[in-house]
Amino acid sequence: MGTSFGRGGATTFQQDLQNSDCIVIMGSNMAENHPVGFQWVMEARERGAKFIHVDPRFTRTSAVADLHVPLRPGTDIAFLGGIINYILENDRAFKEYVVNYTNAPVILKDDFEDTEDLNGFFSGWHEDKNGYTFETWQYKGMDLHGAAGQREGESSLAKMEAFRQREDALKHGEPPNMDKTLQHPRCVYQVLKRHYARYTPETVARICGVKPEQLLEVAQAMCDNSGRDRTSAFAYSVAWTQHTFGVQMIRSAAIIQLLLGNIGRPGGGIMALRGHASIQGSTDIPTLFNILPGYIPMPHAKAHHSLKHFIESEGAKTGYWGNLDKYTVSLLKAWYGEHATDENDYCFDLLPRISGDHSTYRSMMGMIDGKVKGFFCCGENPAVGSANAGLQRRALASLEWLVVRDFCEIESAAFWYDSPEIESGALKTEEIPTEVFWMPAAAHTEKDGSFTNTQRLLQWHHKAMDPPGDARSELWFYYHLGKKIKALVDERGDEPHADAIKFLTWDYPEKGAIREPDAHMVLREINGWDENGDALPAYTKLKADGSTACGCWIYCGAYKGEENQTARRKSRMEQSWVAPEWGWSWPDNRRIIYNRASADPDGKPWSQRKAYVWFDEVKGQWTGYDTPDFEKTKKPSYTPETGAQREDAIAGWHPFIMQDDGLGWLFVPNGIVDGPLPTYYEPHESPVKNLLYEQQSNPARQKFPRPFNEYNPSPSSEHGGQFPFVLYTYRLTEHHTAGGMSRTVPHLSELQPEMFCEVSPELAKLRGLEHGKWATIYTVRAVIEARVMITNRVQPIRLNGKTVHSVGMPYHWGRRGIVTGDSANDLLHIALDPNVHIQETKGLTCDILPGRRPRGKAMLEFMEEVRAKAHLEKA
Amino acid sequence: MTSTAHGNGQINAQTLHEDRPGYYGRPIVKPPEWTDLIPTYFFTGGMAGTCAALGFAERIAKNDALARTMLFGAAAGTAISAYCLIADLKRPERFVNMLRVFKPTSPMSMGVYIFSAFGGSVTLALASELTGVLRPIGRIFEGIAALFGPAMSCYTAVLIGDTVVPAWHYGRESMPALFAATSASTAGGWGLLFGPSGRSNSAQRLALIGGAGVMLALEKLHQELGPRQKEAYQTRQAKMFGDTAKMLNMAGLATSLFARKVPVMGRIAGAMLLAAGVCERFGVFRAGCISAEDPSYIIDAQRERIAREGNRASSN
Amino acid sequence: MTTFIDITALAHMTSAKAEQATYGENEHARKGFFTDTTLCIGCKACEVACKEWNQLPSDGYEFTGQSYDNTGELNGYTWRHVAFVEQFERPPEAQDSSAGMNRWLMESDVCKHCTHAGCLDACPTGAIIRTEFGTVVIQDDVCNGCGYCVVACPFGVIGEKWQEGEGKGTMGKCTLCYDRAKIGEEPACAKACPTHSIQYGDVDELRERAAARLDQVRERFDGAQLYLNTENDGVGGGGSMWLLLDKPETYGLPPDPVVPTKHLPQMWKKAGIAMLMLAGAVTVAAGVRK
Ligand SMILES: Nc1nc2c(c(=O)[nH]1)N[C@H]1C(S)=C(S)[C@@H](COP(=O)(O)OP(=O)(O)OC[C@H]3O[C@@H](n4cnc5c(=O)[nH]c(N)nc54)[C@H](O)[C@@H]3O)O[C@H]1N2
Ligand SMILES: Nc1nc2c(c(=O)[nH]1)N[C@H]1C(S)=C(S)[C@@H](COP(=O)(O)OP(=O)(O)OC[C@H]3O[C@@H](n4cnc5c(=O)[nH]c(N)nc54)[C@H](O)[C@@H]3O)O[C@H]1N2
Ligand code: SF4
Ligand code: SF4
Ligand code: SF4
Ligand code: SF4
Ligand code: SF4
Ligand SMILES: [Mo]
Repeated sequence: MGTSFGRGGATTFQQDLQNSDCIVIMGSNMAENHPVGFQWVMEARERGAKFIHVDPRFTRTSAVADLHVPLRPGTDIAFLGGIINYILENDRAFKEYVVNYTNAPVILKDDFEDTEDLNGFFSGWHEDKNGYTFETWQYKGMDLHGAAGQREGESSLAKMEAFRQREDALKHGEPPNMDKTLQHPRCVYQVLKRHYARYTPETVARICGVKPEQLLEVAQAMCDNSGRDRTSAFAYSVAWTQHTFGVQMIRSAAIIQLLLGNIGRPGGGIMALRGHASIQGSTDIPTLFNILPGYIPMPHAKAHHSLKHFIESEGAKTGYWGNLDKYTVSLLKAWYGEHATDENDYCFDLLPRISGDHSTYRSMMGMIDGKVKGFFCCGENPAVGSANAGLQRRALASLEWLVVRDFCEIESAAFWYDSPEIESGALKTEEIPTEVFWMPAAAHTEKDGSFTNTQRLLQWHHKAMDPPGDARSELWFYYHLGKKIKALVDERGDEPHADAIKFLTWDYPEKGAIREPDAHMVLREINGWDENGDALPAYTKLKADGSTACGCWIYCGAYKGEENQTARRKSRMEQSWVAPEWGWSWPDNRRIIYNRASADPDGKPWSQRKAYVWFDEVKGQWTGYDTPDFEKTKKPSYTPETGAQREDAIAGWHPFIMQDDGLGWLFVPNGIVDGPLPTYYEPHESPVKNLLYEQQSNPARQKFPRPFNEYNPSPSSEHGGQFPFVLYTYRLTEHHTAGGMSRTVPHLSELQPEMFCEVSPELAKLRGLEHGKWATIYTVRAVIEARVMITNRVQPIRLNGKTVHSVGMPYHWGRRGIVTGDSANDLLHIALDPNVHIQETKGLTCDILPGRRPRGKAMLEFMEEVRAKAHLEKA
Repeated sequence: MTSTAHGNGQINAQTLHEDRPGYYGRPIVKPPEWTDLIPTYFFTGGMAGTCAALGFAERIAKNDALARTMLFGAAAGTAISAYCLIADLKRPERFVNMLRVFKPTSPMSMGVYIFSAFGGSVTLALASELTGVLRPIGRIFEGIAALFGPAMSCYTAVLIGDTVVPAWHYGRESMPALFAATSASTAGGWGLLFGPSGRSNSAQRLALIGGAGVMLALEKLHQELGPRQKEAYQTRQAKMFGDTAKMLNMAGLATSLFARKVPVMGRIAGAMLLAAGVCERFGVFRAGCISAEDPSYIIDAQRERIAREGNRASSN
Repeated sequence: MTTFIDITALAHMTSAKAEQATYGENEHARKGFFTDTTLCIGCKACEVACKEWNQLPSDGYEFTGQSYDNTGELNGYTWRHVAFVEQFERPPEAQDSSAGMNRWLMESDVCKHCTHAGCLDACPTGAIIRTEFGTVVIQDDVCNGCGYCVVACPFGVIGEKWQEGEGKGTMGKCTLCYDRAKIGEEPACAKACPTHSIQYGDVDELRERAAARLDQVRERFDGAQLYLNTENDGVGGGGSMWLLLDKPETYGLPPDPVVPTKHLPQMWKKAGIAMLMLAGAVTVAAGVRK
């Protein structure tokens, strides 16, 4: 999303789905996993919208959809490619939108080559470095930068590239070489057309296992419901992200929505449905290793010597990322306060640096390899919830110390005496060196704070009661831990890096007997203040001269007017349907972003029915139902001077103000490491060969072939038939993720008391599975058991004349809690999307047998046999 | 986990459940929560009621010996009944709550009053009979007990008829006759078994009338039920009890014919009739449970009615 | 005898309205539910909200294999139950889900708060009452656990509580959140329902709403029908009513429920005859002297 539009957040909000004329939910099971927001989909359906669900299984979402299309897990790019092809071949794009608001007319460099020419690779592939460089993907006559930090990730290869001399050459706000007739053979539109020509309904049907008519029905519905007067929306969630090409799946939807003119408009957009209550918040103010608050890139050890150098290499000249200096300096002021001065680069030196990939999976492997010695495990349960849970547990068992903060003793805290490895004898309690500190955590009802939900909306929650016993909030824990560390550093005198700790401002007011830091004051610091110490109203007021401080520039305004905006709770009955006074959403309380696109290039609504934000000629400013995502008084006809910088370089008719060129990117010249266009690859483990290219899987995916993370043989190999079935995992309404919060609750546990797998009657017959009895499921990594749910909601997939069966299962179970069961994640491997390092949990291979799994030593013997058949070494 | 939590939660090995009626074959109405104390109560209560009636009749006829036997029967029946009734309450300490309201819509409420009046009278009559104190008043209570006796014997038929249990509800019109007849045959049986030799002829006659009545009433019940609902009585334990009841009843009747010639035959006949009565009650009870557990009884009965009278509950 | 029977008949004829009216000025408009199954997404929020609000325990952890329904039924501890019915007509090996009827029905079931409530009629202790909202409520502290209401409910709603410390031995069912109604709050289940499948309100209004909704969706959904939304059925209409997409029995509901007390006068009459015959038999047996 970030690379296509400029910001890594849902473009719309769930309430807006009610305005949609066609909703395609794909890669998400919204009714089950976002039931409250789903009411707006139901509302749209009741208002006559067409509602389509594309999912391998017929789920509770499918049950209320007008159309359910079952497809093979992991083939969404082909399906979406089919839709793109349909739009282009039948000339159904929203031309006026496409020509003015996207980079379709832009002419690409002459040396760009497509996967169609290079059999599955784009130009710029370096076999030796296992990655791409981006120089051939650029616009002709202009190098693009890619929204800072917004890039959905970066390889160190791309990182090194940041040094290259950039040629930023917007001419009066437009890229220098364009063909607004879209005829030039190297313009993005034509490149796209050629790229997707192969995704015919028949080909797509053979890859995805759908019927050509089903693809056409979806494509037609979207096209019929897009244009001036109508809009269609996509909603997706982790069934798009959790693949070795997850970012490209989302990119495919972005391309469709840009072509159909559905971004920035009511009832349109891409609704990214996030997971945990504040998962959006945890990327905005990140728990990720490679960004700082507000998607500012994390400085790199080799690449960034000085603040100036950092801003130059990471910032853009044009667009809002041209203000990276303001955002960064204000952040440093918030963190280091008076210590941050112009002379010392505002303490830029004190920021930690990254030296490569330090994502969670790398870190776990680092533990096994002895490189990572201690671990804080807070708000997660990797022993159940992370891919290849067996490897996760071995990682925990290799640590010197482990701190687990949770409500109860979850599997990740009990692994040393209760785990499949202990049960089988593969690990022994007495041989595990890890010292485990289990610390009780306060629940959200027991502390003040905010959640940033799936639609960028910050909502405050007030403490309802004191935490019981020793339970403490996250804020309390880290704040007081910080104080202890500061005291220790002070006591020890000058240690290396001592300033990094000493200079940190660490002075929130403390309240009550337990000395709880004041969460409101944390939010106020995030919001930021000006030179007088007054809360800032918006990020446009940030300065790069050290006079403003701001903990996260995109949240600037959340404490506007010294009032906690996120705590506003005005009922939607008492205000417009957009409900701007409920909570506060970033940026600047905008609910639909890029909403300048809801008006035509002249600033008038595309149609009365779809009016949202428009230019009021009389008042000379943008107005509408939502906060305009545009400079308020910038005229639609505003034409920048050549050489203009920052937002001044963005033309009055370019809605994507975070991008260097203000355009929506159909083609992404910079920022995605596995290709400027989505292209179809098979999942890392697949029972069939790639029909499109010789290149089987995403060449840039991250692989970790190592003990305990072996991969099932690929279909082309000699033993390819050993794991004939597709395995995929998902959630149930009744449970939550790794189960720590639901398997411990009687009222939820009784609703889904046992781990099960869903299979078609045909597979059941083939393997002799009996309904309600047990099945054993295995990969080369592990073997688990589950109750059998035979259901017609799951169907065999017919691919290219071959029938492929699938085994689907929820991943909520583990060995602790009221209801227990084997963990699906034991079966999974670690192979990651190269951009965002997310694991592939949907679309692997496995085999299934009737009956319970072997236990104890027999389990180890069973696994040895399996591995021997796959010609793998002994474990 | 108890079985009450999930009716018949077993997993059917065939995955697709179309072959089971209704919703996965789960009961539509709840089978009674009652234990075997309740059919026992039907038996002892029914017998006691008619024992009291015959006893008082014999008292009037000056056959004090048989009257005394029958009074003992009434008393024994009452005692066991009281135990069953209270023990089956899940909160027996709250028995008295039933005496706080008088509710004509509830056969159980009415029954409690019938039982209280009847049981109270029997107890007082027995006390007087055993102690010899206040004989005339004792006799009056015997009379009151006799007056309530038939009600005591029959109200339980209304009690079960006035439920949604198909095997009971759809036999609701014949059930009182069956209960009356069984009460007669078992009261007669009591008299035959324990009555004074040679002086129990009226017990024998009552047994004969009752026994024959049972056969007739059963026939009527089956007619009322119709072939579909009748199946409940021909299934598993209901059938076993029912068949045994019939056999014992016939055998008891036949044997009782020799009661006057061979006294011991009378006693055997009495025992057989009592046993038949027990089986009869258990048979009816089990049939009720079976019909409530299998939703097809309800569905078929109600669908038949819809076919006859049109649908009232749903509209489209 | 006859007057007695008449009283019984009269008592049965009492409608919810008449009973409610005994509350005098405390009487409220009759409250109930309209559950629109075309809007249900099977999230079970209603089940959980009910248990949370009413502090009901779990009643066991059993995998039934009956689609996504591991609750199975309404009982003493489960006052809301969501039914799941998978209806798929797809020929084996065919992957076309558009062929034939393919649907997954979901329905949230609850006490019907009948106009003529079998449970209320049957209760010998007066533990079950009609409230000022026209709803039917069991008073836990009066109930003696006789279990008669269990077999008097045509819908199998009531069940026994059996866990120590959780009201053991008394009977449980939906109270239509009497405590919340008293303070003007909608029931916990309706409040939790994200899609408005459960709608709470005045019964008169809900009946109209249900009829209007049926008109609206008749074409769109095969088999759409209203259930218990008129006074003409065997229970005099439900305080709870449904829009269903298949026959009631598909969801485990009786197709044509009748309150058993409807036939009570007739039963007493037959019983009266049986008593007289029994008295006659005794007289005959004792009277024939030999
Ligand atoms: N009740 C409940 N709600 C939750 C959660 C929970 O655990 N329980 N978790 C929260 C979290 S953390 C998250 S991230 C979200 C996730 O929300 P979702 O993304 O909706 O979660 P999943 O159930 O993992 O996957 C959704 C669907 O993807 C389908 N699927 C699998 N593989 C593929 C594929 O390759 N393509 C397509 N198109 N579909 C596929 C599955 O059948 C499944 O129905 O939910 C959040 N909400
Ligand atoms: N196979 C497979 N695996 C998956 C997925 C999948 O679809 N398939 N989905 C993935 C996704 S999207 C996600 S988000 C992960 C989730 O996986 P995890 O995050 O590992 O699992 P959770 O169970 O959500 O762990 C959160 C823990 O935080 C605790 N907790 C809650 N509130 C607080 C708090 O305030 N403070 C502290 N300290 N602790 C708290 C909870 O009790 C719980 O144990 O799973 C991933 N794994
Ligand atoms: S659990 Fe919370 S975030 Fe998830 S759907 Fe329910 S209310 Fe929304
Ligand atoms: S549905 Fe059953 S429990 Fe509810 S009021 Fe009617 S008879 Fe009583
Ligand atoms: S069990 Fe309780 S509520 Fe039910 S009928 Fe008996 S006393 Fe009334
Ligand atoms: S109304 Fe109240 S008691 Fe009844 S089901 Fe809903 S939440 Fe439960
Ligand atoms: S809460 Fe509403 S949508 Fe969810 S299961 Fe209950 S009735 Fe259905
Ligand atoms: Mo997630």
